[in-house]
Amino acid sequence: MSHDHPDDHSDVALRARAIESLLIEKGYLTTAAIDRLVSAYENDIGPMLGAKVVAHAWVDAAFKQRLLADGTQAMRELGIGGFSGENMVVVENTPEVHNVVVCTLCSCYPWSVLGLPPTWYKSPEYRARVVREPRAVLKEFGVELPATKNVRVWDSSAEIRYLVLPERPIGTDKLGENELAGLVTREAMIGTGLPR
Amino acid sequence: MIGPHDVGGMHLGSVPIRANEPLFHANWERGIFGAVICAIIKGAYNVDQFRSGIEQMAAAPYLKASYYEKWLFTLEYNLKRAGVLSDDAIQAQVERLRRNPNLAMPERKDEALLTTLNWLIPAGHSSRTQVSQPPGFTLGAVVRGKFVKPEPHTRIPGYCQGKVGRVRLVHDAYPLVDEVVRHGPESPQYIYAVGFPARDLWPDAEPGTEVCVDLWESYLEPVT
Repeated sequence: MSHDHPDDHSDVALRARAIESLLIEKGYLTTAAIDRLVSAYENDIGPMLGAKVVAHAWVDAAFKQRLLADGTQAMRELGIGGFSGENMVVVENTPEVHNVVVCTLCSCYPWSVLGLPPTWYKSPEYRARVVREPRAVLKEFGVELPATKNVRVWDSSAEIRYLVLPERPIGTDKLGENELAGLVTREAMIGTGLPR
Repeated sequence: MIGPHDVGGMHLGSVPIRANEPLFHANWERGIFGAVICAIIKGAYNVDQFRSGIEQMAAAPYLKASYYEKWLFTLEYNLKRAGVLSDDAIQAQVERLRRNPNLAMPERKDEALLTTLNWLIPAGHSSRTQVSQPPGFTLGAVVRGKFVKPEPHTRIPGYCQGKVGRVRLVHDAYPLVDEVVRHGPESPQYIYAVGFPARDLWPDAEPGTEVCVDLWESYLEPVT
């Protein structure tokens, strides 16, 4: 990769490069280690894993039960785990309750199933507002919830990471697991979206 | 409020939603992402000290900084605290790079680090701890969030301190991070998801909203 070809000369980029090179000199870091980590999250670990979990839960009732009882263990069955996914809880949307996930104190996020968080999830605006006015925030994502639905916002401020299990869209009875996974967006698994 | 990072409930503007954004916005972000994780693996600091470091930022820069600018801040803060790097060494290296922007990264091989990453990336590392005593609160228990000293680090948001909620989930036990950042006794405690009606937290909150926040046992007191 392009570690030896700095892409910008801003003060922050310069300072970052300075610290990176000092850490390499001191034996805390190598460019190969950076590449290994970056490649894992750029290529292998992302919302497609969460979508696989959700689609599997939609077609396999016994798996869904295990997933809601012990998210971490059930995801392991599908070979899914890792950083910021060691202690997973899955919360299910129902006709009565819609779930939304946030970390108001920083940006805790289930990396193992969704990859690295998008900028909006890490923004003070989302973190500040979604606990107080989730419907107004969801509207900015183009989602309008029925007035009859209650909203439960999970502030994942400790060691547990949350994944939302969205309701399976009606009229999808004939779709296979892979097609179903294609309906499951990242936002649907955070609670700021619905399956396509 | 326990610091500028404790933003839950603030009135702020619209959420910056962008379609198809890249995972990293600049190459230096990749380097810092790798550096933060590898320095934790190498034992320079722990993940709670990493979070606590971000909380040392002043309010105005905190709200303005990008995600990886915050990572860079806490990386530098923690490396200096651990005695790995000094201000002088960083400044000298910045000047060296400024004079020679095409200076290559030093060459180093570390097969052990790569091996560690290869099993750690899919496995992660949980601080979940087995404890012999049962949880102090049961499902449905009525509890109040305590006022907790925010220094140097705590994970109870200001909005639920002094407020009454109900235990919605009983999680496993984990070391109390307030102590972990100090290298203290690291006593493991149960964590509970406590549900607070949003209207009890903010009178103008949307009706029909419950905020469930994960709290360590010592953040809570029983309400009888």
